[in-house]
Amino acid sequence: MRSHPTVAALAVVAALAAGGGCKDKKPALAPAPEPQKALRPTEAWLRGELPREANEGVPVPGGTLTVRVQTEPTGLNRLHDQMIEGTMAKYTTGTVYETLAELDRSTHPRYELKPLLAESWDLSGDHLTHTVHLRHGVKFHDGEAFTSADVKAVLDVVMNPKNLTTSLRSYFLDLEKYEAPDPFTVVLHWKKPYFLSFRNFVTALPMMPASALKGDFNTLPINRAPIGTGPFKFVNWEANKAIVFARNDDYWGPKAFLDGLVVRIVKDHTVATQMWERGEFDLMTVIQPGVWRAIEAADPKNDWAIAGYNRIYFPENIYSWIGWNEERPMFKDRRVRTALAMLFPYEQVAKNIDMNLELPTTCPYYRESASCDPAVARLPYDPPAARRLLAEAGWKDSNGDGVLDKDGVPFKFVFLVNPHSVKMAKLVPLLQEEYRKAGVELDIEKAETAVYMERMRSHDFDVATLLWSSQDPQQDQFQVFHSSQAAGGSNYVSYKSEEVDRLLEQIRVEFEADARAQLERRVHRLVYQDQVYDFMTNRPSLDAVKKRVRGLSPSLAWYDLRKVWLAPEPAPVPAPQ
Amino acid sequence: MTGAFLAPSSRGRVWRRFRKRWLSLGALGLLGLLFAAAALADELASDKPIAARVGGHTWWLPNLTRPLELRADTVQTLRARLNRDQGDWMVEPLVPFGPYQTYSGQSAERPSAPPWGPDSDHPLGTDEVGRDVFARLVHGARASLTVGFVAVGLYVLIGLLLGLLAGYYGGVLDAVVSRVTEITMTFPTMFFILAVMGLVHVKTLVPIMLVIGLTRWTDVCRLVRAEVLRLKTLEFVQASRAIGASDLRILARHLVPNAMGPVLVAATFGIAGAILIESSLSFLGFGVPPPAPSWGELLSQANRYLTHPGAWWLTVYPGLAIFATVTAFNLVGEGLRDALDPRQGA
Repeated sequence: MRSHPTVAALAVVAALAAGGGCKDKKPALAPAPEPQKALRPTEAWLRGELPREANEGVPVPGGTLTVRVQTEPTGLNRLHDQMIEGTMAKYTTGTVYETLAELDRSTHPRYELKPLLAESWDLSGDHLTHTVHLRHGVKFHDGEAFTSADVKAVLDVVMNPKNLTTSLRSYFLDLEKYEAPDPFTVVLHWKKPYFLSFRNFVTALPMMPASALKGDFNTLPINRAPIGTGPFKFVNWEANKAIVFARNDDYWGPKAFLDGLVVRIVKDHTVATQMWERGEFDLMTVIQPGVWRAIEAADPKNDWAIAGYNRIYFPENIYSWIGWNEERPMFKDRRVRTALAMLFPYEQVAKNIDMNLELPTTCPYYRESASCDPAVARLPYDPPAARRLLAEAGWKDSNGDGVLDKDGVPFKFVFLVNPHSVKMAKLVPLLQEEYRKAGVELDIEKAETAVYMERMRSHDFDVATLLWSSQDPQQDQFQVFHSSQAAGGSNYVSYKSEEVDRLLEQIRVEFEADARAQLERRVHRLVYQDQVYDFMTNRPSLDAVKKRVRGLSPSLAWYDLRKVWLAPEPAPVPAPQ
Repeated sequence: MTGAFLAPSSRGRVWRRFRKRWLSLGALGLLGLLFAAAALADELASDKPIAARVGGHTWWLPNLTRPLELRADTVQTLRARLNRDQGDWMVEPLVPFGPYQTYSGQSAERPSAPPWGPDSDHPLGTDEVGRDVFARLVHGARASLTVGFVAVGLYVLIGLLLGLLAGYYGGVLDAVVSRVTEITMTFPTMFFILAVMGLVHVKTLVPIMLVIGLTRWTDVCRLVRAEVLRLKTLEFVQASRAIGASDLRILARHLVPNAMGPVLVAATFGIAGAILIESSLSFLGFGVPPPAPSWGELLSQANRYLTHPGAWWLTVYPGLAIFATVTAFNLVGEGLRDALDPRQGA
């Protein structure tokens, strides 16, 4: 039951490497290694893979898992625009809240749908009617039974244009009507077929009791104290310190092993690292690349990490990009965008900034999916070619001031930077140097996150950078690359391509996965060819977990905390006299 | 009249008194060195040579003129092209790296990512982008000193003017100036600057200097006002009024020079304060626009490298620079105050 094909395979490779390593290191005749040498990280540890024993053994109930998170959530109501994003969403999905279906972690990297609060569903042949049969005997944490009235209430809240639920509402723009013919059936009627509409419906909406959704949406008590159906229930939230959850003993499914879950909010990375070193977290998250690399060094001061923790390196469905605002005349020309991409010293960046932890990408889709065309090669770092390309596009230094110009306009632009981004603080000075050598002048402007996003939305920038992330590997790039989305959508750079528009429209109504992947690979090729973005890297999550934590394995849908258990602490060995 | 700072006779006396305080004298020397370092920053650390003849072409002071032909060149690339048999030569700066030079063209030789610790290439190490810490420090001194002097110059000017007017004319004018002073004093400078820096999008040091200048003039104003109130009743002021001198003449010739002593002392302490504010702002990311070098900016990087991996050189050197500069200004201020104090023996 608990087999995760790819992850399991990784674990096996890890175990083999570890086992092999040990055998090689301990030939029978060699002197026994000193205790400290025994702590040397194995290959698997260095790669951040979990050893086989981390997923083995007979689970025992009990114990509390303490997790570090970096940001304090605005609230825990996962329907609210301001509370839906961010780390805490991961910690409440599947723990406190449950959706009608979940992404099946055992089908990585496809993540097929698996019924959760739904027992089954019928989809009509024209893709316009979805009938969902709900699970019987499910209770909310407040004791109320879960019925179709709750599903309807959640949809009512989301569809109400007065509520701040625009993110979720965007999935239901083509929803014609929804009804609950009996307590355990929900029927949705759609105006248009769309390949993601059912998946969005069953995986994006966390179920909450109808009674808790009455009143002013912005000040609902569940914003601070969520009520769901999940295997853990909310206990307490101490602002800027911790959020505590306890096992739900009335859970409809197999009960969780852990007694509780403590989410510690520690914003500062240095403080978090020190607390981690003191062993205060069972699961340390968002480890800084520098720290990740520093604890690898063969140095006794790293023994605590090597002896006490397993590291988890997991590439997520996130990619970082630099976007050229095509409303600016200088970036309209594809040759200019291509030239700037060829000035990106990616090997230097990979080594000195990403510390070889991030994975270079050219693709807007999930790297392990069939939607990325493996034949697309990254543009080389080639300053002379870049300069030729700029000259071809008409950018020459005609007044001899060292800065390229065209029609009297110097090649100068402003790079919008979020002051909290460590990566940008390192990357932009380097780009500035590279560009300057090619006669392109880059200025830096800092903007706080809220201002930054506002400037992106209103297209008030020359060059900016963002991450696109999705927990679901099945993604629609319509919002990001379709020309209609330049107004109000996420096409912040105002990219316009008739061919890509047509493909994206085709994808929306293509229900056959392989045929869709074909189209998506063409989108990938085209957006890379057009250099809509300077695609940078896929970002991994860098976590570490105490060795006694079992049953934890990474996935795009985060860890499955229902399956996590703690191995009993080894009894203290009496020290020999 | 004793505190006549600008009067030639007492200028000598003040210097003689100041000279006796060896600590203040040492501090003054240190400040001299700092000024020299800031002025000669391009000779001390630059990515271009001070002078060079490469491939038959001679450049003088390319580190200052930054000729276009050398735009892609650094001391390191020129070194590689140097052909001594052909009569090429090069005068390198003390440290052959500029403050903006990332990775210094040598990351290939280094196994790990920066920050790199002090070694023969980088005497004080590098920051997290591989920029030389020494180069960032000497070039950052310019930002610190500029903010210190311009901001303090501005507020001395404002304070002096308002203090003179309030003290000399009294009445409604005095009441208005005094109330405005009190209101301004309640402004928390740091928060005010943070608010201003969050609103304006000027990529220079001007807003910082303006805000410090516009909020910190109150001490100078009160000092000058008190001094003028005292001076204007004295005989020499009465005498010049009696012979028909205009207000302007009395203010400029008699009151300003006599009130300058305490102002100068306050200004010296003020420069130290302004440098600290600039460092704090840069530490918080609201100071000098990136990638301009600043001591506070280096310290803010150090914050990320306290432990795993530690980079002590990012804490120690900029910290020392700020500490030494602020202490030196304070010591000079103290020496000046004592030297100007008539109650101290000559």
